[in-house]
Amino acid sequence: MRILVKLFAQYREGRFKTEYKEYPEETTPQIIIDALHLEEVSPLGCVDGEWETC
Amino acid sequence: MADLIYRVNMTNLSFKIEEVPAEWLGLGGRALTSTIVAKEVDPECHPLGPNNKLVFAPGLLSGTSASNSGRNSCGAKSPLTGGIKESNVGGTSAGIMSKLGVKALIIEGLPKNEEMFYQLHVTKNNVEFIEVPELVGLDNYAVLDAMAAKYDKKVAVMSIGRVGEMRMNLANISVKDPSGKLRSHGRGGLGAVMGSKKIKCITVDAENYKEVTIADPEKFKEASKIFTKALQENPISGEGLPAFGTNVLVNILNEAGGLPTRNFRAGNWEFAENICGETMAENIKARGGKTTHGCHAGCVIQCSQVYNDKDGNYLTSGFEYETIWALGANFGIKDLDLIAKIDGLMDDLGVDSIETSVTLGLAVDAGILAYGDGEKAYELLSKDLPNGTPIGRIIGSGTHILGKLYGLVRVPTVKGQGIPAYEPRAVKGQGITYATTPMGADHTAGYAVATNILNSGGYVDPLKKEGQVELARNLQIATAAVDSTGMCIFVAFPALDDPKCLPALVDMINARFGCNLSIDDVVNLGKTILKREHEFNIKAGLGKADDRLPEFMKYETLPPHNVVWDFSGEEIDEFWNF
Ligand code: SF4
Repeated sequence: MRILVKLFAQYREGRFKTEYKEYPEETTPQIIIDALHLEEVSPLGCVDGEWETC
Repeated sequence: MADLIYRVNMTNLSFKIEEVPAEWLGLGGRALTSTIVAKEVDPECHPLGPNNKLVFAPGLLSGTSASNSGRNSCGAKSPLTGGIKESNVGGTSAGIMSKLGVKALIIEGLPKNEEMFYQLHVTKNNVEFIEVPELVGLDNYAVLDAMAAKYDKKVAVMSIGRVGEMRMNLANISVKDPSGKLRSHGRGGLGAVMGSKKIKCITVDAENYKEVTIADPEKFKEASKIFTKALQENPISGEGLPAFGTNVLVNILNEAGGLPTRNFRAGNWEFAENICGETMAENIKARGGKTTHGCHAGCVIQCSQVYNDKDGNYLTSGFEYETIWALGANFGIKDLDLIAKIDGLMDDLGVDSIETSVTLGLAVDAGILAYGDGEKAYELLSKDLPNGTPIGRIIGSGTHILGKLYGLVRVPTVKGQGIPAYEPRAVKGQGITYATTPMGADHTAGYAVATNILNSGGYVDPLKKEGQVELARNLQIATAAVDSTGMCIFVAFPALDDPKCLPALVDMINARFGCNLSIDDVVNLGKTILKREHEFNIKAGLGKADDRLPEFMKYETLPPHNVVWDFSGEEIDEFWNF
């Protein structure tokens, strides 16, 4: 599937603002975060604070 | 020497110094201003008449070395809301008043000579009344220049511009910050109250003060260290706010569908990137401004900044998300530099940048301005408003009155005060705060955005009703307590998430005064203050029907989530069951 990834604040540094990319169907936010090497990302808008499930 | 109450009477231009009554000893900041207003001001009085009082009180920890403790509270009956008002500010006044031993400055009465404006100069054990005809008709920066020429450069200055002289609802009280720029007791028209008392400025002597006394310096130092560390280690107060200012919120609220757009017609804006915190930080770096800046000495978060134009010339500082949102998404200006220019103008004029800009958003519906026409807005604010032309006075009356005069229905106010920056239909906890706070729509009164959007203090789904009343209640109680300490509201982020933060704050209060308060005592203080303010409002004639959001939010769905405001009156009124 084609996913639009938007980065904000300090996560933009050395990366990008927005990017469309193809990902496998089962992709979770955590997989994208890991691929981008984003550390200590605060999971906004997640009921249980877990990127795997939000 | 113990702190004292300085009481000024403008009717006969006299002052007296009073001992602090026992029941006020443990109060500071908002707790003290609201207690004094509730006790001494007739809730039915006219806010601009002789029976209103203007009260300034630094927080309990102001003047100490505690991080972020330099906030000063100002209270009165508000001409904008008709209820009690407290508005706190950074700048230099809180620290200097505390060090001078001024627990509160109470200003009552109106001068007999309606032609004259005065400067009040507060020194140790004295208040001088100085006639200042030469300052009449000047705005804030000119007043600062005049005071800088007259006194030590550190003198604290609180002033009003021409809009305050004319007693318009938009008028704030501006306060000099450590860089000689301005911060404001922004909301509620407190500048109009100061104008009604014919006070152009208040200066507080910074040459002859003593450091505040600390009952247990060792314990204070230890607690202060823990507290500062908590502020610095929190990802929002330690990283996001210093790097991007409060304007980091534009993109976050836009993505959450909670960025009010086109006078509250949608929850996101296609041009958010033009005005966001990231763009602002890029501009600042390229143009030689400052991305971090404290509004008072001792702020370790430093969410403020200095923003320059393309040629490196100063445009504004203290460039806040709420102002940028209101002039941007809500009124439609896509050019951040023009927003900054208007922000700088509003500082100089001494007007509430939120109320003014929300009024401009409504002025589009009224047919006065075109959406996004920033140049015309600048002209209106720089010419009509401070010169008191008829249209200037209409804008100067604020959102609610503009709506009435133009027969508009979609008027985004609660208790007559313009709703700020967070769409209540899409951030429902914030909506409950707007409806219930005694201050009128005020985001700082109980910042539910923290838990609805920023996952601070847990998470309550912003689009659902469940848990919002309890969230807003807990936050408003905590905020009433924090506003009494002199702390900036952003200490709330570590306080919500770091178990060491709140105990350290209470330890600092105990060490400062040699008392033994528990966290429960501090929470109870918050409850007492909130109820006291609510009682004042009821006596002033503000009832349950005033604890409501504008009706259009109940029947107009808000894109992109297509949500409405769906709380019944009974559900909202549950807020007061504590
Ligand atoms: S964090 Fe911002 S608002 Fe708070 S004291 Fe510092 S500069 Fe002022």
